[in-house]
Amino acid sequence: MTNNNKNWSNMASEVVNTWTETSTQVWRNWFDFMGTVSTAKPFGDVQPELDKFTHRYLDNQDLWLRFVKLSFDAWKDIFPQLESGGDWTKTMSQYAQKMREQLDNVSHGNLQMNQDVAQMWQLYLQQVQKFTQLWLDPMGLHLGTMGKAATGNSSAWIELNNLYWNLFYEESFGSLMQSPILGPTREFNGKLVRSFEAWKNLNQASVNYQVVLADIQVRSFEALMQNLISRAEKGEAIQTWKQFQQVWSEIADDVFGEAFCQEENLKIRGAFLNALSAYRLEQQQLMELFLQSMNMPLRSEVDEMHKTIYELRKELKQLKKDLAQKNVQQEVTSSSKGTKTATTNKAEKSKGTDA
Amino acid sequence: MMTSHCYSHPLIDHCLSPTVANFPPHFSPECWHLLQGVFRIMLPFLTQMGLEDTTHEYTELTQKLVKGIENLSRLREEDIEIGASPKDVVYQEDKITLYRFKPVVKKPLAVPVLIVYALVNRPFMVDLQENRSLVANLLKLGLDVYLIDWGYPTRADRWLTLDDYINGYIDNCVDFIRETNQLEKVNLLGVCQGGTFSLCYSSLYPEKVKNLIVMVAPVDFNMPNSLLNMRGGCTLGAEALDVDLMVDSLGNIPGDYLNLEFLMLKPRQLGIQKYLDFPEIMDSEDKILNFLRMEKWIFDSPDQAGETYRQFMKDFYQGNKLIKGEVMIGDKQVNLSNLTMPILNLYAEKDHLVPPESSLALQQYVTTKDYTVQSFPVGHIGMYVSGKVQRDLPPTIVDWLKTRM
Repeated sequence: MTNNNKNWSNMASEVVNTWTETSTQVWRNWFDFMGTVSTAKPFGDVQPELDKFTHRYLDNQDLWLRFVKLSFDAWKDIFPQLESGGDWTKTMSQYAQKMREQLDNVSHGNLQMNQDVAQMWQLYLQQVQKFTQLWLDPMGLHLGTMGKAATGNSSAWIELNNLYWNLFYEESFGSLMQSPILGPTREFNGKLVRSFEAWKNLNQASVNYQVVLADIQVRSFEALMQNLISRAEKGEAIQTWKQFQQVWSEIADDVFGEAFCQEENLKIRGAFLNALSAYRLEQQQLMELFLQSMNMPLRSEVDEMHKTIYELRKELKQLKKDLAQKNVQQEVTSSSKGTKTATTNKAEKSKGTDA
Repeated sequence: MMTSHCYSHPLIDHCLSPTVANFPPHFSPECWHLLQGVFRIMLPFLTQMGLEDTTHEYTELTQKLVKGIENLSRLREEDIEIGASPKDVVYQEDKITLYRFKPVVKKPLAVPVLIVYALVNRPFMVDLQENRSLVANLLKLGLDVYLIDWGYPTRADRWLTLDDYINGYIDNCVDFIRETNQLEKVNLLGVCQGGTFSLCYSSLYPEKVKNLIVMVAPVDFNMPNSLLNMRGGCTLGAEALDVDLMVDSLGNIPGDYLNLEFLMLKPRQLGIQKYLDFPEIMDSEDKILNFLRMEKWIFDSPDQAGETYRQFMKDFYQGNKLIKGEVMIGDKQVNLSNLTMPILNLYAEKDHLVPPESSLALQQYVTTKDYTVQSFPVGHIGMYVSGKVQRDLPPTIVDWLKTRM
């Protein structure tokens, strides 16, 4: 009996696996197919972009399907307990915890990456500016603190991330980075340092944003389970895998929408977008230095040119309009003058005749 | 607590049936019956979503995929062209084009309608395909229809402002139609952001607008329950989106960014679920064509001229200045109380981009005595593509106009 049960479960899991893998494969094939059709080559020119898009899309879809599958597995575990009147909430919490742990791993990975890349930058700048080892000690301290702070609560990760940058970076190396720079390479290094600062802000904001997004995933999972339970209690069973996905999508989007109508989450998202823009601006500054050294036209110069042309064009249009208006007025005036003269002549003529 | 009888499943019923030939003969029917009960309790997952159903679903899907690949391999880009109704270019300025659709009745209404579409996406949503075209239906009902195509702004257009669009392009198109038709006034039909532009234009040049129709047009931008408005910074301003920083860094705002923003309003449904559902319709060439046309329209997004985007986001989304009477277009102040012409306000009841309350707010700020409001039970896109709306919307517009000519 147990074996039978196991076999059924295995078979069901197999089908789910096949389904998810197949749908991914179908899309992979579809994109490949669209990108390689040789007869008309409707998308031939965009092949590299299409490849990038395909990979991004499939990565995202893989992640989504994995998440759906995990939810599906969770439901398989929770449902028997719900049916037997057991404590299903405990199982659900365990799954939510499991997801949070995965999220923690991702967050941990991001933080680790921050440290690694920041360290590389630091080493580089050490060579350029003969900076000291101010930053390494706080980083070592941070590694210890991080382990203690990782409680599984998403806001803790955001706090930890902010703590990392604000406390360990800003108060040591960061403040030094913001001080005026000396020497002939002052301007270049200043831009480099500001670019690093913007990159640092972007990383900090990005990790915070990712944590919010991942937290939304967990919350949408919880909402899905609640929804399935309430459906099951009403006897409204999910009949197909497609229906399951649809329910999941709708619930996930509702949770997502509600989350981003909350100001605290909007601020985190806003900080990310704004940091992205700020970083791009700094990047452009560096790029301009590079282009200048290569004797190439700069983006700012092209913009300036466009602006001048735009203003001239606008002025010209206005002048043409004014001229057209003047011409019309002149025509009206001259025609009314003509009429007046004609009338006067006529009057004089009739006067003469009368006389 | 739930009872097991709710979860009968045909596959289990079949497999555990004593009549199945290969079942061990020493199990009595009662024993099998008992076993069935046990299975139902122990396999709630399967009784909810059965292996048989899943297999069947998968088989059907595979069949559709095979047929779908056959269909797809026959299609080419030209099969999904948008903008089906015949039209002539009648006026051009910079990158904009004014089209006049060829009238299909002998004597169209004397005062033409100028459709002002949003800068976001292409305007041919109003003429998506032959059997789903607002324009085609308006033509059939006797209107003379013009449409402004804003074109694709390039980096050279980065400095265009709302002044250029409203006091420049729209005004020039209106003047062209007035001169060509020897009319004092024209009818305006503003769609979405184009509706907001039409409101601004009509308040600045009321002497040139006979009747004003706005469709799914945002008016009040302070909508704390709307994700699009919240993200645009209707409550937080620059903390939600620093528009200055964005425009300074990007120049023009890429169409792809806007696409992503719209997809991220319903990321699962619009970004993933839609494509997972696609194989379901792949066996029908018509449905594939409809789907691909929509895809083409959605992702054919022109960039937004930087300075225009800056002003629109800051003054409208973040400052909500339209209803406060504080919007400046060039050196002219927009005052909605100047709107004294007849107004027809059309909105979608399930609109997730422009909430109905945002459109409905218009009534409070206009002074016209002839104000009509009409809703349709669809979403934003449904206003153009829903069969029911395409049946009801064009006569609503034409009947309303006919009584005001």
